[in-house]
Amino acid sequence: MESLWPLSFDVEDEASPKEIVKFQIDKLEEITGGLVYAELIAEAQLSEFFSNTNYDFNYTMRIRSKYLATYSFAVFSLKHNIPFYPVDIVIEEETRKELGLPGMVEPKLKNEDELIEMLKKIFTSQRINKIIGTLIRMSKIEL
Amino acid sequence: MAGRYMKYLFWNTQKAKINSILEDLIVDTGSSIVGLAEYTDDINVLLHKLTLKGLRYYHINKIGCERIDIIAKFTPGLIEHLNESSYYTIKKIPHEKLGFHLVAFVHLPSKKHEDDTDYLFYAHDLKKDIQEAEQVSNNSYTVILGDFNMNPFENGMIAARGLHAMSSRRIAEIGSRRVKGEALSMFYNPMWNMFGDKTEPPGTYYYNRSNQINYYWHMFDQVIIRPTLLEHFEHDSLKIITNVNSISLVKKSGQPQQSDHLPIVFVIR
Repeated sequence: MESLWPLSFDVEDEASPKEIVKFQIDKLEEITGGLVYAELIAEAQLSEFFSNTNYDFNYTMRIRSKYLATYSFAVFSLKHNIPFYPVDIVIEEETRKELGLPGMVEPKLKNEDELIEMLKKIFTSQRINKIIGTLIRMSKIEL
Repeated sequence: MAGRYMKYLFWNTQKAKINSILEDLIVDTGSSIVGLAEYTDDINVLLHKLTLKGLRYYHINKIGCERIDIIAKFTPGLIEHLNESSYYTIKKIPHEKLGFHLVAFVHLPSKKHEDDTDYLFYAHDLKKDIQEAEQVSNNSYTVILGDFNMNPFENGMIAARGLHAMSSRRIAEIGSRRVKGEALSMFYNPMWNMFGDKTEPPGTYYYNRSNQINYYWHMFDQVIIRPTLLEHFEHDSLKIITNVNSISLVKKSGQPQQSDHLPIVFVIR
């Protein structure tokens, strides 16, 4: 029987939202000398109870600390289907307030540029800097 | 250092300058662990006043959860920081009899801008983080206390995917319930016993609204407990505090003054 598939597939050059965040996570660990790092955790789909929020891909970025091994703080969740965009980003409350984002409306990021712009705002926010600074200070006490 | 039983106190102080009352409340109740929401007074002054009375308390470091202050009789180094968000923080705290237990302090957003679905999400996230903390710590001696901004009967407190906090100890001791093929763990909520006016006050928060449904009294400040911890929970110790020595925390009408919330205390042996 003949193959019904095309001879090859178009592979997008575009980085996935996960890859973009992962790169930044690696940078955080580098900048803090490993004292503070982050994880991008794939979340299980929520039940039919929240069925209108199910996506093909759902990740949460959590900040952790090498010397406070059990601590974690969820900064945001990224949710998208295929294709990658638009991406919904659910940012933790105090960061969202600092960025002046409205109430419970989750920003929909239409493309890679918007995602990068939003990540930059989050990572340079006073809120996230304070949390990371506190973790670095506490880690140094543990050393 | 705490003795064979530990007393817990939680109070949403509504941004009042409340140190003098709080000092007496902590001394009077003998609480080892104190959670405070909307605390804006000077914590160092409070700790100093307690030290002058021969009581050493420590302010536990705040990392990501700014809304809640915790003071405890344990040095900060003995307390392990687990998952947290803007609205809750989970700590692993020593207990002389239990070894360690997990204490989650909660202050969920006010009802002004949130609806039932929002609270379901908050409850779901909290429960998920609790379960992760329990797994990481290999410990399910868990108690959650704080201002949930929900009544015990609201969906976020009751739903299996929410906090699944049951009014009946016997039901909670089942441990979990299968919903759509998934076992969902339970808590016991003793606050159900505090409703009504058989004993005063009928709640921890008073709000009179002009809508058709008006409860007047709400039970927003709660403690819920894992079934594994129930044999250590002293049911009769659970109280909503209305006075501290000669200072009344309620008006003649019975409504809260000093703060719009009343404190709760309880003991875990």
